Amino acid sequence: MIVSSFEILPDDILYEIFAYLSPVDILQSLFSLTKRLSRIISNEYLWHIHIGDRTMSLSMFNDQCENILKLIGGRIVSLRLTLIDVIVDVTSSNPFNCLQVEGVYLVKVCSKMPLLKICRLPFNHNDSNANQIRNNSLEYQIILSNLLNINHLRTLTIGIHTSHFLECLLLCIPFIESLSFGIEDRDINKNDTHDRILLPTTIDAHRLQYLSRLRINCRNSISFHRIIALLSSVFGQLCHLSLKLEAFTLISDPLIISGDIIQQFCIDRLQPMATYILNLLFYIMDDFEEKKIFNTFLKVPFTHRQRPRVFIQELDDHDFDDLYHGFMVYTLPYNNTILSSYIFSTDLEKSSISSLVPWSLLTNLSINHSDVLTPATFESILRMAYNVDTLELFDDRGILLRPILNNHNLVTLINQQIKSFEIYDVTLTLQNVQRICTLLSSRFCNLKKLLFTISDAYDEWEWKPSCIIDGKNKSTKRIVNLIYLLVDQLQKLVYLRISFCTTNFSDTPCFPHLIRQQLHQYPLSRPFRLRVSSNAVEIWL
Amino acid sequence: MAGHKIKLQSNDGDIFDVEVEIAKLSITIKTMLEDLSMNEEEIIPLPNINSAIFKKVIQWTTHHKDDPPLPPEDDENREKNTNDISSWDQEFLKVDQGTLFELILAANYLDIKGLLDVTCTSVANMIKGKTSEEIRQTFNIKNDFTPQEEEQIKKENEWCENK
Repeated sequence: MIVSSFEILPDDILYEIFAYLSPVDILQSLFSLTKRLSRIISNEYLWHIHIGDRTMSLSMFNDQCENILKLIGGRIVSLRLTLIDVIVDVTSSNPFNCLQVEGVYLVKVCSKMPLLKICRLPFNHNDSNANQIRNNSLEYQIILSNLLNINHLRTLTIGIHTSHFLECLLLCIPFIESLSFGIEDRDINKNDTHDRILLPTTIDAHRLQYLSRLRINCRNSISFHRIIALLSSVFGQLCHLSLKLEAFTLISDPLIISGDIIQQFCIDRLQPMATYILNLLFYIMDDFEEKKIFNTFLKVPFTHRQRPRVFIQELDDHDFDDLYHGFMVYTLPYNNTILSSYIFSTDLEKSSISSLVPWSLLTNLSINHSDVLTPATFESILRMAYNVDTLELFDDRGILLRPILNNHNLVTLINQQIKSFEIYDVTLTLQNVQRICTLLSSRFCNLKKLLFTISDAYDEWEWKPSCIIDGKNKSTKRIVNLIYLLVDQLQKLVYLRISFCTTNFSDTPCFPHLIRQQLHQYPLSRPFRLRVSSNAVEIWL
Repeated sequence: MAGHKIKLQSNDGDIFDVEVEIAKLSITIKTMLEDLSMNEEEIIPLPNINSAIFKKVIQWTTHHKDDPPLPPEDDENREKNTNDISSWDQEFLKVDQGTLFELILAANYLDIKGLLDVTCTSVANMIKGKTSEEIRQTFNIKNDFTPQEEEQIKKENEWCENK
């Protein structure tokens, strides 16, 4: 029998197809197509929703929150809200930005959506008011007890929280299978010996008997030790562990993190078949004694395994203060992998190192050291990494951007692939930026996010608009014209950031009150929100 | 063992010699061979797939035999991206709608996740951004709503019709 129509596809395949469509596409295009589709969509399909991807416009975000949730809220089994910086930061008093009571939104969402099994609410707790921690602890215990009564959560992703909160939360999610969270406790004050010795009691593994996938992002050393102490009993049941860690560590510190600690506390506790991803960044003091910490990573067994292969990479010291030394320990695939320039010395597509890179899994490409990258190599990378949609170009010699703009193949590729483009090109100045942006906007008309930095003139003079006659108004006019140009030309743009970088930090061409005044008097062609300071203009469309 | 072959029979009687490693990209066949201990000399019937479609399936699996395994579907990778079709797959999927839908059904029956993903992506791309009427035309679907029902649905969905 020849299958000739969409209608013959069974429901489960329709659901597969729905998974590639946004809720708006499903409701707009399919809901009123046939009686069967209408019935499936309104009564049977269990929705997995992600509201607010990185390139969604502000008005779409509001629309989707209001309308979609109203229509189908009762049948959502998975919800992910991404509050891109626009939503979180646009008002200083935004409640998401400073959750005084940790977990309050998690409980609210779970109580409104009783079927929810998968939930991603990456709101970070702001621990600036650390003195209240004891009181908060009591408050969120009360709130979280509500969660316990209602939740069916199997998968939960939350933002950065304190270990106190996580201790309580872990007691309230008995069905959890996959858990992702960040943890950041206050760094220990040397005088605060009470906190220093306070590691939580290990949780009873029966409380988390279904947990099999764990992703932890530790923001400092004390967070790492606390969470490892708390969860040590469940490592043996995990089939996957992902550990991200950024820590300053010292030999004399009782909470040191060395290769042996990672081996003993994390790797050795996992079952042999369990998989793991590591993404560890350490800072140590730059002296002979402290570098012993680095050496421990060279010796421990897990860094010598073939699977997963572990890379240890020292960071350029000139990126830091002379006092410190940084290094990374990570497994592939890993989206923040830094490719050293020597892999570009051979034919990239055929080199053996290139074959280790999971190109198709990469979504974000950041180019540093523009001098080792030719447009041809860059083209190869883009072709292999065909899922990359975010491009960051750090060009401290100003030699790559113009060849890119004039290379037909690259322009076509970037225009097809890249949604978000961040440029730091040291030669981009207030004098030439209009010309470059005219080129940029005609070449890359599909950009949704554009971020770039304007430097003061290259090593010759600094901005002194206040010393030029009518200088303030002249530079304001240039900046505002640039904004009009980009907003008009880049029809898909949802976010624009123009930063200003000076060599001496004393002057800037950006006068917030004048820019606000101009944009208020002659508004942009689309609704927008604006944030402007003396070193950056940000616009959300 | 590389190069070792098994025999698979389509529903119109053709028998295909397929390398075991390639055939095992189908979880259905893999399960038959491993869990049901089917003898590799036996002819395995595939009652839901005709020769033309099975040839396409073999073509796809042969090209993708060295792909890294797809990560398990969970919270972390649930979101799907319709830009994910590689240029080889795009060329492969330049087929009529009937073949495309049969490929979806075959990928579903054989449990070949990569092929199911790419074919569903292709259909999703045909739907994206279109109105109901345009989709009806694209897929030749009959409108079975009464005018009153249609009016009612339009009302419920008013907010997104204005996009």
